[in-house]
Amino acid sequence: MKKKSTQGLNRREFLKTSALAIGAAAAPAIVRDAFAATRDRVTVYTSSFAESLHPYKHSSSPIYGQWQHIFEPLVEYNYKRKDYDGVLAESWQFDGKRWTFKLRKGIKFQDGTPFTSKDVAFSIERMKDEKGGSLQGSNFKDVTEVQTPDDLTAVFVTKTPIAVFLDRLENRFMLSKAAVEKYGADWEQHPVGTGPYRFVSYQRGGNLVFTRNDDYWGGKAPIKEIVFRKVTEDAARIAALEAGQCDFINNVPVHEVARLDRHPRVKIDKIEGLRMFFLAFNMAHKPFDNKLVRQAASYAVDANSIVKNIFEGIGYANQGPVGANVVGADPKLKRYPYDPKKARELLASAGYPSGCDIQLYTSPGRYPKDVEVCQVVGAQMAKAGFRVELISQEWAIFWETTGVNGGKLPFYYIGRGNLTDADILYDQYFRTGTTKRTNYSNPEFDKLIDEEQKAPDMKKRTAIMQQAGKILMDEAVFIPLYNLADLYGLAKNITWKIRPDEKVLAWDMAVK
Amino acid sequence: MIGRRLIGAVPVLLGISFIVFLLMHLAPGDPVYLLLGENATPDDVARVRHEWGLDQPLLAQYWQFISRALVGDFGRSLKFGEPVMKLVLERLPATVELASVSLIVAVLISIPIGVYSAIKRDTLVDHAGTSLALVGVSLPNFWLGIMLIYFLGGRWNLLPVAGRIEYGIDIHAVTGFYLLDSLLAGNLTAFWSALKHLLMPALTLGTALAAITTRITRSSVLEVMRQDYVMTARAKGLSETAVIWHHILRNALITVVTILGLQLGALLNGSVITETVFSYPGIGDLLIQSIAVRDYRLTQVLILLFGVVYFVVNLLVDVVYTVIDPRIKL
Amino acid sequence: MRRFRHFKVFVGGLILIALVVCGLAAPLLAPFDPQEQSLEARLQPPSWAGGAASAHWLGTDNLGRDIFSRIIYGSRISLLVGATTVLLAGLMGCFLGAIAGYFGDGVDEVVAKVTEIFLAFPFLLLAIALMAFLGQGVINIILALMMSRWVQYCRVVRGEVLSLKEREFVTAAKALGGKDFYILLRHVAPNTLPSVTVVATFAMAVVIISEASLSFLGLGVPASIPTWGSMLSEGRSYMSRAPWLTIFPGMAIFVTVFGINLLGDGLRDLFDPKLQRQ
Repeated sequence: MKKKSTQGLNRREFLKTSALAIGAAAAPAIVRDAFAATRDRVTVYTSSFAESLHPYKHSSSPIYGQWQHIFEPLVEYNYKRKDYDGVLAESWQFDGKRWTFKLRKGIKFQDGTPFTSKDVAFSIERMKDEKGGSLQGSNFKDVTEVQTPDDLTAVFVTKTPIAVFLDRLENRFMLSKAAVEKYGADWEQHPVGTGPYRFVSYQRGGNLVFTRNDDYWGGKAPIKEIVFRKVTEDAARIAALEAGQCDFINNVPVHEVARLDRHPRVKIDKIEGLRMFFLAFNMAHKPFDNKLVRQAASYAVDANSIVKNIFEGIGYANQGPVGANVVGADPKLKRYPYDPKKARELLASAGYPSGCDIQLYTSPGRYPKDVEVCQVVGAQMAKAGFRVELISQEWAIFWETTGVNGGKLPFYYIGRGNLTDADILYDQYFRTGTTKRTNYSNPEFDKLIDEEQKAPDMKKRTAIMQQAGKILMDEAVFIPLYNLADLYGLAKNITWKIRPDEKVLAWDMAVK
Repeated sequence: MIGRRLIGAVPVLLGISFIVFLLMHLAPGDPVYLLLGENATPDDVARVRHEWGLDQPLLAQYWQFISRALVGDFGRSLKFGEPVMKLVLERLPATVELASVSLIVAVLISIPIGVYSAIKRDTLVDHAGTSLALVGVSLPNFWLGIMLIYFLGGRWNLLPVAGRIEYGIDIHAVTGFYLLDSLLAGNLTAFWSALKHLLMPALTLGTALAAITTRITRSSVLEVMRQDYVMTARAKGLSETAVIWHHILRNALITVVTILGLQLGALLNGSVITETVFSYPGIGDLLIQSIAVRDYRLTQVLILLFGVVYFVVNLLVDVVYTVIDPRIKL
Repeated sequence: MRRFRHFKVFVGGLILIALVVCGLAAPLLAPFDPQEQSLEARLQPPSWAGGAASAHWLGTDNLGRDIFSRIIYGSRISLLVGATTVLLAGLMGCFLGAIAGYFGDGVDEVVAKVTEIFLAFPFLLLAIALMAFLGQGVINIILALMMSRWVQYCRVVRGEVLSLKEREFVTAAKALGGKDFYILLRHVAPNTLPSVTVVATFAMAVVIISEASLSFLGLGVPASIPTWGSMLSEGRSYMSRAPWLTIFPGMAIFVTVFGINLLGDGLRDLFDPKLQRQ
């Protein structure tokens, strides 16, 4: 019992302290957090925050961007040139079952040890180790070994010739073999890479901090320190930016753009995003097995109106099956114009003179304004005789075998991210047997995709993909909608080179 | 006695763990699909499922979980890849701190109002107090949170909108409670920063609790005031203050403490929403994340933790009884 | 101050009745179709707050729908979910509480353990899991909320029955050879009604907030049905630009819950003779 009474005492002490604290908080002189972007530090409040420091988790582009401060890949996609740039690799060569990479000379890890082909081989081994927590193994399942004839040469030997191998090296970061072995099971907590920033600290759900690597092989970045903090609530990120609690936020909701742009200390940067949004039919389900119904639906949806009204005009309606900047896009293609009358006629000739009942699936909160978009789509389609019931599903159910990937959803709203090449969409959604997402099957289309994937030169590939795209439009196998803008809010004194891949990289920034 | 209580908790916890396990595994949603993302092919999914042992029969998986858990091994999180216990312990202090501060705020507001309302029963003060309590209990806490963020955070820029502490302030983690750690280190700047970060979430979480406690305090004080021993004390000519402090409060507190204990469940549920709204890095936020990707192992341990906390608090409530009223034995 | 107690019951009852009327007569009361979109007239402020000559008393939302009409229609879900959950949870809780209290021993212990499991189980997870199992929908939300609400009834009824079963009229009925369930239904149950009513009133308040919270987390009823929680959830990112999207549904929840709590308070004071002035 004695023990317990001391406990009571402690509690009383504790209460006393808190009372003091609360009294202090109520006092008017509340000190403000004095954040301001300086060359010393930029604070980023982000909706996507690294959930671990293990760079071989499967992740999303913004989080790869955070890891990329410490770690670097061999190659990186250049969105302007639409081809790969070397990062750690200087040059590469593809012949048959071998991909040979020449590494850059004189690159050192942040702990001073040199970067060599041994580290490449080691990193790839780690990526293939799915038991060890890697989710990137599937990229290298065809790689039988990584040879290291000398320190600056790494040779990937594959089972079959793989022309598109560079895609698989995107965001595949190189670890230091020595550091991982030194720290053992604890290596994740001591990330060592070759990147332009060094790791400082990380609290899950708290702050992730990097400081400039002054010995970086590519030269010194202007910003000394960058702090990422997870803030998922849109309103909170905006409030923080306006109040000066942070210098940089991602995912600004479109309806805040005009207001923030007028803010004296804040500006908005935007770029066309790589995610394409569309309405997909699953053709194994009635009535979407009927081409006329699909065409009717295509005439019934007004993507331009959605962009204008829901996204405040800050979006890019797709003209063809992919956005205009995507490899394989065909400038000659036109989307189905908005024409509810024509849609009604088509629906009638498809055997539904009095309209038809359909269900539209969506996963709320997954994409910007998804529920709103679907409600508008429902209202638009109603004018053409479709009676649309909107069904919301949690992402876990929507996405996996119970939903999209099980071929269970007849009609759904979805976005495909990082869409730089039409092949990604065509293969995953429309080629026979790759997935069950649309259950579309057309031997003629499949043949084109096979050809395109083996075609050695870009021009030829593009031509074939344009042919394939035309088939998709004629058959109305889905309703392409739009790409949205990626919107960032930042302090006026920051300049930065905005990227279309949602990565926020400190070395792209400068502070005036 | 405490021992028996603990043993009594075991079947309940086992029950909970089994229900969670079944719910998570029978509910649609597969962590591998979710973690592999947009490019996953069925082959990849099957391979990873096998690697992680998720293709084994359900009961075998449950048995594996239980038998390992008994020796303290809760496995690794599917989503984060790190030991589940580590993840939980990393986050737990944040939530405990938030809940405690909410509780303290609630108690500090509610007990004085409740007692005063009871003493001044049926006066304007009483009506104001009870009405205030009604308001508090009727406010949806997520709405309150958003309003606070908008006004206190954005409009007036008085308080930070997210997180636990300003960056750049180092706290040497001893207990994991930032308020305590900073005080121990004598670092007032850190204390101040941590407190500022806590105020809005604690207000959001604590309002409903404060309201409930006010009402309970008021009614239990009223109840006690009618008891014979209070009458006797008054008749003996004790001063009103003495009567209130020695006789009424002490006895009324028992009910209040019970209710506080019972409300802890609500506080934990509330923490899930509050932490989501404020991006506060606690276990409520972790729970939402782990459920979203069907991280079975993490979810299971978190739910069990909620259960354990529930038991511990109820036990503590009983211990506190004996402190308030020595006649009560455990 | 009996009058104040009556006042509480009166005002609370009035608010509840207003809610019922709103729900039942929504098509008559609402000036607009709650689903009618008008993208050109999006985000218009309330007519009395600079909403230039608009017919929308509480403004329009992000799709140009009339907020006032949506709030009126939204009362249907709050009412439906609130009333049904309270009723079902009440039936379940009262039944279990009654048999636990009346039969005692083994039955009591089993019920007590089950109650503990439910008390120690975060209801949000229960709700998420059930929604995942069954899909989103009004019935599923009612089920999920019911599972977390029956416990209070169970505890209160058990306690009441424990003391009631020792009373003369029950022992007399027993002595006369009455069947257990008959006695429970005929003699015991009616006497628990006052406390059950009070529990039910407060439960309804909690349920309405919980439904809104689930909708807020995106786990509520389908988007095609207007509810206060989902209006709030959709509107919250417009907070700085169009605060009326968030403020009015929030007020609707608040006023309703406030009214019901007021009613519960008043009823408890009325039913509880101990608290009445001698």
